Amino acid sequence: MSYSNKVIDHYENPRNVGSLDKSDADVGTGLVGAPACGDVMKLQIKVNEQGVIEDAKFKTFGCGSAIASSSLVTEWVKGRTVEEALAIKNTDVAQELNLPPVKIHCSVLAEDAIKAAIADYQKKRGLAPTVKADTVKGDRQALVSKGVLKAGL
Amino acid sequence: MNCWSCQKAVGPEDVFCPACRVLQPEPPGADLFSALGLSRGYDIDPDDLEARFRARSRQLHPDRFARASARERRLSLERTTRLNDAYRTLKDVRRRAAYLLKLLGKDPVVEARTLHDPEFLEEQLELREMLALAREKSDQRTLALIATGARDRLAAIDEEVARLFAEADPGEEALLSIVSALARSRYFENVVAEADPTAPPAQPR
Repeated sequence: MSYSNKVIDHYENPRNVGSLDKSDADVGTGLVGAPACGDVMKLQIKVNEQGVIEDAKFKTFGCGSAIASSSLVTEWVKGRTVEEALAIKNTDVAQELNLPPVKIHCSVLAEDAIKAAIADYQKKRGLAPTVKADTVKGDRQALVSKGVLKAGL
Repeated sequence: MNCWSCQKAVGPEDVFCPACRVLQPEPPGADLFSALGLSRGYDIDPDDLEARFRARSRQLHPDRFARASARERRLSLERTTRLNDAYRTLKDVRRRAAYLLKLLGKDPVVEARTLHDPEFLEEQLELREMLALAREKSDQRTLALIATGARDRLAAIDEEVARLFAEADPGEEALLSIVSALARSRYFENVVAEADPTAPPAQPR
């Protein structure tokens, strides 16, 4: 499998690597993982008074596609409103980076990370969440609420 | 079932027809456990697995069928491929667990999409940061410590999985705990692979 030029570019020159102050009321943190490959992705946003994302940082430990997906997403969300950022779909990321089918889950992870970061921000601000932080679908949702999956998933 | 060659009765465990000694196909719906003559279950003695694999490999080896009919030659190839696949999957405890979960309707890949467990992920993030720093500085002592720590965690996870599978009839909760344990093990496998360059790379499951 070969990576596309865009993936390599983001991998070699990742944008917005780093951390924002997690305790800052304007900062939302999304921390997600891909259990199938053992990747971990942290994505943070800083939202200003107008509801515009003025800064975004990420830290990803995983394959090139996971790093590129999170790097791209931080570029995309900067300057967007929270609502606009929520419109970012994993398919957009996959398409932009030309991800092969086996790496689609990396783009899913990036979408889940931004959603989790926004949910965290909204929670801090006492705003109603637009999406649930836990984007896991189907019966797993029920199991999470029952506490079954709390231990690890 | 009947022998494809002489039409006499053949049992599901029979590799060869008891009457005419001709190689038989695997019975329909056979899993990788039965490819090694094992019953479905997590608890397997590694020595027994090894012995079964060797014995079956000899029985099914394509060289033995060089002069046999076209159908037997094909069966020997098919069954040998399947046998190798079974051995590879069942030899590794975590791959075995993942395969067993899949058979039990809890495919770990399907079940475990995105992980939302801040506590565990926070720990992983810290561990990976420590690891990256130690690699940068070629700090062999720290790398060795990290690798040992991750191996200990893996051993604990393997024990937990064995215990959960040993339950008389692992229910939904036990199976999902195993899915969760396997997901965590993937993280520690990656840590070991990064901290110890001599370790074999993490296997796909």
